[in-house]
Parts: sequence; C-alpha cells; structure tokens
Amino acid sequence: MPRKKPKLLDNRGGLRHHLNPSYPRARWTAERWAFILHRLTGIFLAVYLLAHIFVTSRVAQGQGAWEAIMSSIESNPLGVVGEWILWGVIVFHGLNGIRLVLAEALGIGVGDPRKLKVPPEPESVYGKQRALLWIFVVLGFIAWIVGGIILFGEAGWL
Amino acid sequence: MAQGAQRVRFKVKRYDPETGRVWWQEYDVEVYKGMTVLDALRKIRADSDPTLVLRFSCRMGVCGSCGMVINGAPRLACQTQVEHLGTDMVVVEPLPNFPVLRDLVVDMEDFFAKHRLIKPYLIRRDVEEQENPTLEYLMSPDEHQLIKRYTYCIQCGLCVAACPVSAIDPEYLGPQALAQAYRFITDVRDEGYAERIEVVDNEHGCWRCHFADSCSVVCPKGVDPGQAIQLLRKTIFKYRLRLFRKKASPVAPPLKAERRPGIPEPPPRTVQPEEAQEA
Repeated sequence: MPRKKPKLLDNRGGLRHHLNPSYPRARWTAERWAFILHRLTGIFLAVYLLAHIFVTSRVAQGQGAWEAIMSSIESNPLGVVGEWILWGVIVFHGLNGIRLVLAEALGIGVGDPRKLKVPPEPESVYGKQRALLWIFVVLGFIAWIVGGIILFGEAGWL
Repeated sequence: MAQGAQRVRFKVKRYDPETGRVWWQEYDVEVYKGMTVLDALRKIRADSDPTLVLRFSCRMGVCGSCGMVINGAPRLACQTQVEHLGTDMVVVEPLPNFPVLRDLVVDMEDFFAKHRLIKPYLIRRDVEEQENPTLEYLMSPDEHQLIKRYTYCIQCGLCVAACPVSAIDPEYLGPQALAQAYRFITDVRDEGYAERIEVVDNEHGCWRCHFADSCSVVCPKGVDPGQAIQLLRKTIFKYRLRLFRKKASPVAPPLKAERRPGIPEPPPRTVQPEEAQEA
C-alpha cells in the first residue's frame, strides 16, 4: 500500500521575509538593506515615471500650460520636498545599480573563489563590492545634500 | 549567561499534520557548558516531550539534516551552542520556504529535485570512457581550488531559507542549486556546461537573484552561494556573447611523481591485493 502523503504546512516566507532587513538575524548584511532599498526605490521610480510623463505631456498644450504646472509644483512646499526626495531616490538607485551591474554581469568585487580561508568565509560579503557600496552611499548622501541646498535655495528657503 | 547549571526556556513552533494545528510550546531545559541546541532538543524529547519531532543525524555539521531557524536566523542546531546565543529564551522554528511535515521537520523533496535539475554530475562527451574508465581526468590543484569552496555544500537548505527571492518565488532554483550549477560549469573535467546553462539561464534561474547575499551569510560551510551566482551570471553573459571558451581536461594516465630524496619507502602490505579479492 503506498504511503499516504501527509498534509504539509505551507511555510513560505512571502513578502514578510522578502522585504524584512532584520531577517535572517545572523550577521548584519549591507547587501540585504541595499537590495530592499533598491527594490522600494525602483517601485517609487516606476510610479514617478507615470507622474513625470503626465507633467511633461503638458508641453503639448503650449507654453502656458507647461509653465502653469511647473510653477504649481515649484511654489508648493510639498512639491519642493518631493523633488528633493526624488533626487535622493534617483541617486541611490543609480549608484547602487552601477554596483549591481559590475557585480552581477561582470563579477567584479565578489571575491576570488580560489582564495579559500580555513574555515571558509563568504568572500562576496567581504569583497570589493561591499566597499564600493559604502563609497556610493557616502557619495550619494553628499549629492543628496548638495541637491537639497540647490533645490531649497531656488525655492528661496535658504 | 552565568556559569554553572542554568535553565533556559525553549520556545518551539510545532505543527501537527493530522489536525493541522500550529502552536508554540515552551520547555525549560537545564543547560550545561557546550550544550548545542540539538542536544537541548534531544533532552526535551528524552525527558519531557517525546512527541517533539526533529530530524538530525551526524551531530557535527556534516549531514545537513538539522537546519532550523534559531533565534531568527537559519542555523544548524548541532553547530549552535545555547551559551553562544546568549539569550534566556531560545526560539526554534522550522526552516521557512520549505513545506513543514511535522514540528521541525521540513519536506526537502522540491529542494533536492531542483538540485537534480542542474545535473550535479560530470558530463563527458565520451560516455564509454566515463562508464568504463581506463585513465584519469587530469585536474591540477589550482583548478581544484576553483570549485573547492562549492564542493563543501552539505545541502542543509539554510541558504534557501534565508533567501528573499525563494520567499516569494516557489519556482526559483535557489542559491544551493545555482551554486552547484556554477561548480560543475567551472569544473575542468566537465563538458556539459551548455546543458546546464540552458537550465539556469531563465527568469526562475540565476537572473532571479537580487544579490542580497543572505545565503552567503547563513551558510555554515562558507560555500558563498552569492558569489557563485554572480560568477555564474558572468559566465552566462560571456557564453551568450560567444566569448566563453572551455577546454575540458584530457584523459591521461596519472601524473608520475618522483619520490623526494630522504623519504623512506612504505612498509610492505600486510594483505596482498589477491588475498583481499578472495576474501
């Protein structure tokens, strides 16, 4: 008689694990944070793209319509802060994207499999891509602050 | 944690397939220095609750049976000492991203099926030589070093349990299978890289990975699947641009090594080969 298949409990982590930076609670992984931020900023940019197309399509209705919608964004404090947040999102997504292209398509900075320590350590975590991530985080933060100074200066807040 | 005998509370997630009930059960265990979580769970089974079900075999991190989530991280129960966790409450759960059979035992059928999918064996064009070998496939120590790290994999499933992509995509091959695919693609003795690339080069294969590197962090053997998947992508990238060239190692007699001066000959065999065959 064939053995009866027991009823299995579905234990897939789902989005709860997918977007949780504190899981797994092993060693702190900057790459996991970068992945989650990259994903969230990517969704943000996809939504922004729709708004961007909507705003720039005003150009088709003439100079008056374009200037009206641009001034309505620039005069609104929420619009200015939104542009600043948008700039931060673009900087992070772009710079982290460069790191991912280097690591994923060209295998740069993920370590050499031949350099095996005893006991073995994960080379990709200590590789140059981690250093590159921190360099990009610092550069991106500076660019974000500088962008904020320019944006708020134009709005006359500084 | 203080020295000497101390009681630690174990909170275990349990599942009964007959009734479908899921609940948390707590046990107090007296721990000693050097006690692993596996020892504690076995003590619970022996002393207080024989219905607690778990899977284990070697007790020394070789078989990869006792993977479970301990205090929020996938670990091998036999390699985790209660003292090193440093908490008075140890939370034990079955591995996520695997269906649970009962209590802490997960169903790894799908995991092994994915491992089988990437053809985890040497593929040679000359099947006759492979089936009835006359000589050896040469491999230098440097060439072995390329794959050595990945051969440490014990298939415990911790990387899949930690992976953010396996958490949402049931069809994703998973870090373990992809690392093994890379291990065989780079193996100089292997000629089946084109077949394996066909298996992993799709949206549920290596391109689904987001390089969160959680797999590498939780791996108890330092296999670094995160690195393997990135290098696998690099290989496929080159392969699709027709830049990937691989020459399999030749079939050759074993390399003759000269005995270094001053090293004595081994003593004569106590059992002759003919005698051993007769026995």
